[in-house]
Amino acid sequence: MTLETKEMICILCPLGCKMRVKEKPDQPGELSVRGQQCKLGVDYAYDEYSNPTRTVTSTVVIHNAPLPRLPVKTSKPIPKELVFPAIDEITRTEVEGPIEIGTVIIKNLLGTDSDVIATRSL
Amino acid sequence: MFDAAIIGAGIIGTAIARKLAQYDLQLVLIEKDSDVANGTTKANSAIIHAGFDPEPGTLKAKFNVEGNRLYENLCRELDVPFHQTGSLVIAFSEEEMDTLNGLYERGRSFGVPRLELVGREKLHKMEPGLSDETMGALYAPTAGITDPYLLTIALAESAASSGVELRRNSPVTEIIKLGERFKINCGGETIETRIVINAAGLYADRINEMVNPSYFQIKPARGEYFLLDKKTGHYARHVLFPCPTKLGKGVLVSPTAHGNLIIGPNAETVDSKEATETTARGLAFVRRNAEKIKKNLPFHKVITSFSGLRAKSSTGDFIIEETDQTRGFINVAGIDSPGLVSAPAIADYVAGMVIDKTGPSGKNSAYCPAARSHTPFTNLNEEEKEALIKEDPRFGRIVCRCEHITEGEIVRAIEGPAGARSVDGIKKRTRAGGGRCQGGFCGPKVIRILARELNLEPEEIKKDNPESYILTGPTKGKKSESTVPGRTSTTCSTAPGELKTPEEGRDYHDLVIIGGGPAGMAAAVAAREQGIDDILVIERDHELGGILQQCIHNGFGLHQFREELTGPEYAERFIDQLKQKGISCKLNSMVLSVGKDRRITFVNSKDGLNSIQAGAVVLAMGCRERTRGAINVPGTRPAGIFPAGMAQRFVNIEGYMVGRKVVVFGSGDIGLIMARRVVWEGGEVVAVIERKPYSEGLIRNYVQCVEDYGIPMLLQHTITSIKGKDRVEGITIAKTDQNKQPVEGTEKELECDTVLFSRGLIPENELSVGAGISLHPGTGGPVVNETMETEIEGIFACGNVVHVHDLVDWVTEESYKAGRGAADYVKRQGQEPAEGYSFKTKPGTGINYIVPHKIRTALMEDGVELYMRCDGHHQNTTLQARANGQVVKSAAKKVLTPGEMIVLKIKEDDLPSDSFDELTVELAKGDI
Repeated sequence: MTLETKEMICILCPLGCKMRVKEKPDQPGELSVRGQQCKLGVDYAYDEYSNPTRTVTSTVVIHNAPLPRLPVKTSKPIPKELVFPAIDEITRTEVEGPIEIGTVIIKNLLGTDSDVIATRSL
Repeated sequence: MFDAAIIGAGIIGTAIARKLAQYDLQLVLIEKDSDVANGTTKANSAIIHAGFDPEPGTLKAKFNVEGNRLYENLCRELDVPFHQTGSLVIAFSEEEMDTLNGLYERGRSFGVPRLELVGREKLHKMEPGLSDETMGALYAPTAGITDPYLLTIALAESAASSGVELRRNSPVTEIIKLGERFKINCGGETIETRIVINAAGLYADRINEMVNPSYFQIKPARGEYFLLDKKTGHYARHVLFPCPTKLGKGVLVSPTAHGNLIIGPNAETVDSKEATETTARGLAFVRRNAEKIKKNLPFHKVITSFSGLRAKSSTGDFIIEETDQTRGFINVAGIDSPGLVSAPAIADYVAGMVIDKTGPSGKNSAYCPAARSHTPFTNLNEEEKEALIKEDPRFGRIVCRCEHITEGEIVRAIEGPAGARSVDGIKKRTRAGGGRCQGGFCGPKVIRILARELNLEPEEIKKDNPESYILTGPTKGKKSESTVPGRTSTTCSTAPGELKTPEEGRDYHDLVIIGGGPAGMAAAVAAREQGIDDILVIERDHELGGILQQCIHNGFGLHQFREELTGPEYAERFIDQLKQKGISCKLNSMVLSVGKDRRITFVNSKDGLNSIQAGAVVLAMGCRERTRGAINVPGTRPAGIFPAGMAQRFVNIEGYMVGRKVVVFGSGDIGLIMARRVVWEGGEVVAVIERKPYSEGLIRNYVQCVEDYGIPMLLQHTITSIKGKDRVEGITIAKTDQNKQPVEGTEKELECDTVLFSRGLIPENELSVGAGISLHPGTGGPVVNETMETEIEGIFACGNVVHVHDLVDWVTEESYKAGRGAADYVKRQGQEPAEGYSFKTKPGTGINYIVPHKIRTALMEDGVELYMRCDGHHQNTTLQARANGQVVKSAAKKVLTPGEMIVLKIKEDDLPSDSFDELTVELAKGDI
């Protein structure tokens, strides 16, 4: 069995270490991380290798409000592979104003346990 | 059946139309483009020549001198600017002095008034700052400058209001002579007329050939120009020419009718009648030649460059005649320089020819010599402004902040039979979008107003011709609600709860804050916490929050709130605080001036013009984006070129997409974030192009906005040309060398319909300069001390108006300081602070600038943060602060990049006990 090697750039500081990350063949779940210049890079590599997540910020159509779009975000980061499905979901959504900041616009987005919430009052 | 049809609505066609409109004739004016003044008239030097230059015996000689005499009256009648600045043709050698002598004699024989040969000494008195090699000049006091497209528009308005039928978007495809009349097919319709006047500019040869054998050609001669900021017109008092050669009048330097400086043109024969692109080579030629005339020209103040095509005839002279083969067909062709000045005389002459043919005609009782005023609101006196706002509150709403153009003027420009239909139409008529931000801020508003007045959707509004679409449609694929209520009140806010409005009629406030973005709001909160009750925040937009409201991405607030917020969330936290603390705000209000004495004038639609006195002032106007024009990327000027922040506003707030295939030029954070926004809204990002060897934005933004979506990041590349007539069709890119200049031979074409410019931000300090505050060359913002006070007592500044920050958190921190400083100033009532000493800060090796620039130890509070930017990538380096040479503080840094601000806190304990003059901060070692 060949194990996938992922190349990634650590985003934790401006150094932007280019790292090569792969699972150790003899120790499942353990990663071999190369190229980082500090310990934080290893932690970042573990998250980004096994469960990369992203916060999605976008807008939804709002009716009956002073502006035509309401900015929204996911209340917490969602799995990276769900970003485009999440965008589709958000694109389909329309709301009626007025809306207060923090209002849940989509509950439990795609079963991620993350909500889409309004990021301003409108 | 028309008596006469005029083909071409440039300066010549409209002047003829207006002249003929005085008679009782049926007239039609046919224009192929979406607007009048859209060809050569749109892009030329705008000079009203005195008339000594043309060859004797030519029509050019005849009409130039006559035209010059008619100009003042014509411009006065039409309420269009005309300034008789006089011109100087400058000689650099004995040979050229001989040429001047010849021109002098020639001009006198033509009857050019008051020509004078001036010697070197007098010349340098008349026009300071000329190059040292000048020997003398020919002075022509009757030469002047005008606004050619405004003049043409005014002529068209007068003609159309007098009953001339104006048909735009009507290219002539066929002309058929049938006995005593002509049938003209244009824009899908057929027009019948007795007389045809061919004033088709660059296309006059083709129009002629529709009925006549070819007997002349129009050879386009391209001229490229720089246009400089409005504050630079005084660099030239006169129109300055070099000595003419057989190639033409040469590169001139001249003020414009609106106070800008224009420099150009070169002269290059081109094949295409549409080749209006600028070139790196042509612009470099212009610059080199202009610098021969005048020293120290402020090329860093360029706001745009453009090129125009002269309609040069193969005969070398104007062609103004009824053709022998086809009677009733009048050519008015080959009108290159001095065509603008000749226009009124040509119009008189051609009108005479027409009347000769039609026979004597009665006067047109509906003749309207001038349709409306063209005086900009900003040029009116106070009473006139007040009266206008009272009559129509839209004149109290400033839309274009650079040129101070009001909504009233924009609406007025749309109205009437020759009204504007496009964004460029508005720009030509009002100058909205023609200022230093080149429409970056007012563009979305102008589109909204056009859509509203013309009853169209915003995506139907074009930059110019029908194919020059600006927006590709609503985001989310649905129709956007085009009415945007709630944006006009001076008091309402969109967030729940109420912002306090100031009591009516107050003419004094302890503290006035200009700008309600993150800087202004933080300053207000801090000043209130220091016990200042009487605060007024003046905000030009319809709500508080500034640019944060369009920054819907996350990454804000990690330092201030220890959590990750989006821009609107960060803004709303401060808006809530302003509400809770009852801080008064004036929204939709534009500050026009701030005096040294802290007297502030502002305007809005409800209160009109206001003048208030402030105990202290905080300037928090933010910054604007560096435009394509300012960085001189050559090519055409189609729709589809946006500053990234303007695109961000369209997408995130207005709900419109700006393109389908997008290139981002510059890897600053706004550009990277917009790349991801485009992808998320269904667009494609072809590439991000960066001239440097590294991405300028945060690593996180590179990874999560570019790499995540497989967008190519082309490092060490630049755009060498933009292509496309109406909409961007592609770009040429090239590799860059170490000086970020393109390497010849590495060019490549990329197809795209949109280019977003993310090439840096410039502090907006027009108000500061007006108050007499000097700007620091390193930051572009005011020089400030530890309390963020500027050199003018009681006037403070904070946020991006002082220097461009990377994180809003630092803006907030700095603005708290300004708010506390202003509060302290109000409380001290002009008394000097307690003792202590003061010193200056000075950037050392590796550091570009330090804010603040001056520190008084008595007001250091618990320490002063020094905000700095470094000059490149540095790894394993040490930041060292030295007081008079001795290290007083140092901090090891693993990595420093120009994109991230460096913050070093200096406490009073760090400093030597004896006073010193200068604190230097430098990078000690470890460069890569």
